[in-house]
Amino acid sequence: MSRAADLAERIEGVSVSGVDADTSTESFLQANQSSLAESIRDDEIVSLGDVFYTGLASKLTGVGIDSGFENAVTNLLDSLSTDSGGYYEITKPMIEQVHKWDADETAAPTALGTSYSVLLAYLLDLTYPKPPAESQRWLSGIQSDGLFINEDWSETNLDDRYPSEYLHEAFLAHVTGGLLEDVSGVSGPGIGETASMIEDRPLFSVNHPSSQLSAEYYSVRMLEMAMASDFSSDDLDDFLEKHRQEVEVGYQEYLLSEKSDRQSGSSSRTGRDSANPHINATVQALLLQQRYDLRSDAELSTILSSTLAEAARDSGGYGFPIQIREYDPDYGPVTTPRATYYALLGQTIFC
Amino acid sequence: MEGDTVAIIRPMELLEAADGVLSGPLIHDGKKRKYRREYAYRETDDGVEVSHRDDFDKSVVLPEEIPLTITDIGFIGMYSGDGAKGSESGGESDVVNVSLEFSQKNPVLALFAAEKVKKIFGDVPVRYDVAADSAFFLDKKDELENFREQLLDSGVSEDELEPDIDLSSFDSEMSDRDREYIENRGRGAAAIDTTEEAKETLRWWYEYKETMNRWLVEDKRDQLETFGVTFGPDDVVQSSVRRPFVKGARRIGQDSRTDETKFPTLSRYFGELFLHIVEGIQDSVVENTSTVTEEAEVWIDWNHPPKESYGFEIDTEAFIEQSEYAGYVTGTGNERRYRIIDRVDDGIVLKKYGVSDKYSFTVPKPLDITPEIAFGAGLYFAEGDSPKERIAGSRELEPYYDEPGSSGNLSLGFNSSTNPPMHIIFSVMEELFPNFESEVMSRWKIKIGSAYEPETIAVAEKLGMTFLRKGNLGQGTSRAFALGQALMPWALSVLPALEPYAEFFTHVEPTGAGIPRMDLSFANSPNVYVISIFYSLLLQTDDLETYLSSTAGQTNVTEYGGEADE
Repeated sequence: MSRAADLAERIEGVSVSGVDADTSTESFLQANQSSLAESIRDDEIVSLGDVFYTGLASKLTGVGIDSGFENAVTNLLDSLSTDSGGYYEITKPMIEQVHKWDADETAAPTALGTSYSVLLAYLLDLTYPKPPAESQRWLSGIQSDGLFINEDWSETNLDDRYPSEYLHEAFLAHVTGGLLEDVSGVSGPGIGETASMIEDRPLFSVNHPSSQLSAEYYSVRMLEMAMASDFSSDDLDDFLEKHRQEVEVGYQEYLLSEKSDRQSGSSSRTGRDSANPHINATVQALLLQQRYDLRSDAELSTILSSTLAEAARDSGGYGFPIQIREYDPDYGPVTTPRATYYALLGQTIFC
Repeated sequence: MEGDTVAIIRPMELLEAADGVLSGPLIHDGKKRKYRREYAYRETDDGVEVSHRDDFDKSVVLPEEIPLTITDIGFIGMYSGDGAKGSESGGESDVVNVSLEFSQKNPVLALFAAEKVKKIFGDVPVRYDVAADSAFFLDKKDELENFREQLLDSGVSEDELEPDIDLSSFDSEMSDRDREYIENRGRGAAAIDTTEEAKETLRWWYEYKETMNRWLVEDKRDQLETFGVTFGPDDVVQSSVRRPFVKGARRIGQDSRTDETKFPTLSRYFGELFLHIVEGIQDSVVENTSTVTEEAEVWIDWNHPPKESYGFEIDTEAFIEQSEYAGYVTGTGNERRYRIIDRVDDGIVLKKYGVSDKYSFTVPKPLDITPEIAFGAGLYFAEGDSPKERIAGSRELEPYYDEPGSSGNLSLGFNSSTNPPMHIIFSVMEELFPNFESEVMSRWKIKIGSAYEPETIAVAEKLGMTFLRKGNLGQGTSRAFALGQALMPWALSVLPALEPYAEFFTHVEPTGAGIPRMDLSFANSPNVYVISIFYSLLLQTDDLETYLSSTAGQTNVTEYGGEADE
């Protein structure tokens, strides 16, 4: 199995040997490699998620990795690494460039930075800047009550954090822990502790100001890793149905009905807000429905086909816009490497 | 200066050209709406009588020509920030109802606004409304009881202070809203643990509601009278005290009061007319056009384009050295002034006492006064970051405290979710500072209210990143650097005025409420210079006259409509 297929299986829990992409999507991935390499060379802030999913999708499709991208990533990982074995999310020059802060004082490694750095090194078959065993020990050391929060970097109380934030971080930490265990032989962070934390949460509850579909996806994946998938598939089905788009195209990441204004404690007026479909959320929802037999293969295929038909962009990437009220400009990028990775993965599995 | 006209509004030309139908887009807080009102109008000996087409009983007589002075332009800038933007009329229509109202707690600014409305619409009655969350009084029960005793001693009868429901049969007298309040424990207020506590809190609210209302009315009247308001026979102050924790207070004693200045005889009828004027003035300031037209008919006529001098300049050196408003008091109580450390072409370099030269800044000498600066001053008073009580505390000398490194510093900043105000503030700052970009501009960020976290997290998910914050409550500078970079293009598209300053973007920051909007921070060092110029220009024109000189000979300006003598 290729390293890319191995990582896709570790992350999504499905087996794919590769994915198909048309030439425009291949061009999209190549263009992303070039632009990210340039940004890294110029010390501009880049999303580690963009870097990782560009590499993963490029490898899965067989587009291949440009040497400029590989060299830039090698240098980036060196800059992100710390003596502790953990990795920063952004480099010190990037911090100083934006905030004029003393990066030596403020920078601290995170589980997200460490996970993406280790996964990238594995994906591109690079020399790990720090021994994998040290990164494994750093991840285990930062784990507390099942989570992977470095308070030196972010001291927010757990109640004031977004579930999608700490669950995403924990999920990638466990994916990375599993990989590092295979690479170094050193045991990873305990998944049981995290599974207990998840079981204490109201799983599949929409009664939360940010009832993000992704947060529940990460929860289910971690319960699966712990082989503790003892939850009601009816509840999962209800939860996913609530995120289903009325227009029969895909799934939403969040629910308008659950938006709230924390300051007043009241529900938000959402008459002029919108919740467009989201590629990540759609493919995550379909993967869960397939795994827990909530829909037939034919239904899953139909949903994904109609979603991708709407989400394909001229750039070759995939994605849906996000809007703030009635502003015309899109809020954030429409297409991203991660959304495109999910589109290609979904196409291979369901269509 | 104050008596000089900078622009003329011709209501008759406007109404004739529009056939009485005033309409336009209303883009505010990410909402695209419209305003539209049909007016009847006729020429009278006194001017133009205007009424609704569907309600001839309510009318107002406007002068044939309304001359606007520099401070009137400041008021219109202030109204564009704090004035009512319209409320949904219901149904599918995007047309909103626009009231002529002004939301402003600061009594000096509220009085300024009332005076300006009366100048345009005549001596109309004013209503000052106070709305408060009764949670404010929950830690003042003894004071409230004492106030009640005072009321009774002063001749108010027990009956007048009685609750409006019979508390002895509270359970059966409760309204549906009361039951909902108890069930939801006052919207989940942290201070109310049980439904029984919620019920007791509600009983207390009924028992003291009238007393609290009278407290607020008396407080507002005292405040206004202190600042020089004399009440006409039809002017009123009224209050509405809400159930505890339903109007924004999240803890006992928290003040979430809002104050509004309303004009009952105008409000429902002439909001659209006034909004049309405000929009016309604002657009012409942004576009720097010397006229505003409706169907090719000129109805606003500027003496000169609003970004150009209207004929007066401030001797900034004398102003800085002598004006009582340009001084400040340090944290240790010492009275200080800016020091002039250098003179450059057409400018002087200033710095505060005891600070490094690297915090110096250059100001023009002289400073041309433009209508745009006046508009921006009003806009800043409405929407600027500087605390209102510090920038317009009274009409008497109110020194600006400037305590280095403490929260006592008078901050300089501005936030907006629409482009015209942002454009004007940048343009004004560039007029006030020839080296604005290098000496004054500090940074800008995107502030995101909690109701728009889901959209923001959805963007983070697309990137494979998180919306990570820093502070223990999730406040302050976020740690989501990549997310910030991903959202910056949106900010630049929504507010193109930021484009020249794109490199000053720093981060996204979660905040309590509101749609994502862009927040500017300026260097603190010039704070007293900026505020004192704005304050003097709008509220202390007599003092400012001392430092003014006419540039009529250079700019060919005398008074509106005439040619200057050569």
